[in-house]
Amino acid sequence: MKRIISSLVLTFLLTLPIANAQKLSANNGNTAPTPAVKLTLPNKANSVRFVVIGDTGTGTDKQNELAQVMLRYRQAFPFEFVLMMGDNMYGSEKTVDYKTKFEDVYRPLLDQKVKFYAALGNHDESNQRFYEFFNMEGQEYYHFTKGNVSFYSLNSNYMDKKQIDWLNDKLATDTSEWKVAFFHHPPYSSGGAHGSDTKLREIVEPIFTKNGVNVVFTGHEHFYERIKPQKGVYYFISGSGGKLRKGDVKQGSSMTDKAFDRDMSFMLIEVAGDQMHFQVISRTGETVDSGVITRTKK
Amino acid sequence: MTWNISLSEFNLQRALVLATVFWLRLGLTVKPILRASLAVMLACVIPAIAIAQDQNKQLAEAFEKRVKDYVKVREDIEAKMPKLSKEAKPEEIETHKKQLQDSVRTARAGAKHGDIFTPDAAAMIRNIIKEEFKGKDRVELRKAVLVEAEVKAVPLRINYPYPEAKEQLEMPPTLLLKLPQLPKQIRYRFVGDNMLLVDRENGLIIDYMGNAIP
Repeated sequence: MKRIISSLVLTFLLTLPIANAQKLSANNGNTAPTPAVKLTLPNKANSVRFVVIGDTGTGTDKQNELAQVMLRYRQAFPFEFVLMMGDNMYGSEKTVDYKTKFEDVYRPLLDQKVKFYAALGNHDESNQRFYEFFNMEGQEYYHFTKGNVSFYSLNSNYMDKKQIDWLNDKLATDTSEWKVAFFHHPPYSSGGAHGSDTKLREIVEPIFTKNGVNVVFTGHEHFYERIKPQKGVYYFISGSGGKLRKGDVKQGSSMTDKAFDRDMSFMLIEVAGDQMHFQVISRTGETVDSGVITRTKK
Repeated sequence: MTWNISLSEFNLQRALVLATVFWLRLGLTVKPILRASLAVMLACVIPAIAIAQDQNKQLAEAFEKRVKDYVKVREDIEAKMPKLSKEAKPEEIETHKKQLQDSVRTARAGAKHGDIFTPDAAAMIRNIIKEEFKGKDRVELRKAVLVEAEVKAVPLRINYPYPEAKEQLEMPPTLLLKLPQLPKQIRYRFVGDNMLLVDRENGLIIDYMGNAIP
């Protein structure tokens, strides 16, 4: 009898890890069926393809689940890089935190050589700019190009004269067809928790409009919002990559074209010639927004 | 007669133009004695404003020098450390920060509150903030810094690190344009009613001043 009981206990204990592994591999803990990939982007040859995520750095199951959806979409839409809108790590930033809040979550993408380009948020230390996988070149603000698109990563925590002068000088000589800026704090937002950063807008909006910046991606608010074009510039908030503030978008806001604050999400972007296509996908794989921006030629 | 007035350069120019126009218009209609009185007043005000501006400039330069003296100490220390790569591993970042922090703390063991934010410098900076944030802007600043911010529990200790897990409030860019300029390694930061100087790499609180929010 004793032998039977101890065998039963042993069998139970041995099957526990297997059961957990199966649970993890089945959509990372979510036992719901895996939703199909439904791409609305044209997926053209030689287009510039990337993802926009923000406020990710939690290391939670939900951040992982969203990352799994990103990975699935990559099979249908092989994006080359990811833009991070800041708050890349919440709380402490020790070696273990880089692992649990970033590397472990996006390991499959890193293994596929997807590059991450980060901006700094109000929860990020400046030292993140040295981290190998954030590709910041040791700078708090920097620039890079991909195809016909110029990207400006800015530090909206500390928009001092040096950064403003750098941005003005760089944009003045930029001949790229598309100019995209990304940073943490949104100049336009219908969020209840934060709202529009009007002091930042006062400084950056004239620079953007004067120099033909087409699109601005930001985070900080923990939801998705597409803002109506403001003085010819398109603004997006993609700040629910690891955190969510449900119901935070003010209903009836005159500046909202589309918003989604019921679940976490990320953006897929494809720039093909004079068109920028976007698709916003939720943690459960639902497309919550999509569309195209056509660049006005100078 | 000396007035302790602080005005921005724009306000000074505006005041001079208005005073000149006023004086010219008045000169056509008012008795000579009144004109003479106004002339004396203007003769006192204009130099007083210039003196006040010059004083502020000197205060700002002295403040900037004290900050640069700190930066010299930490640059000398950092020059002797292994350079941090632009593609560093997390453990390298953590080690570099800790080493720089410990070394600078040791080198500045006698640092105390008010070494950089002297009373004069603090008064000047308070005035700059007060001038920048008026009316609705002031209400919003108070709300953002004093009410909404999650930094209330940050302990203010000179030569100790700003807690890594605490958020860093965004500095209003329009204010940054008005404050004395800092070297790239140093940041202004609001914590509650205080304005801090923080080293962006080792996280040390270099100094702070109270009653910063108008």
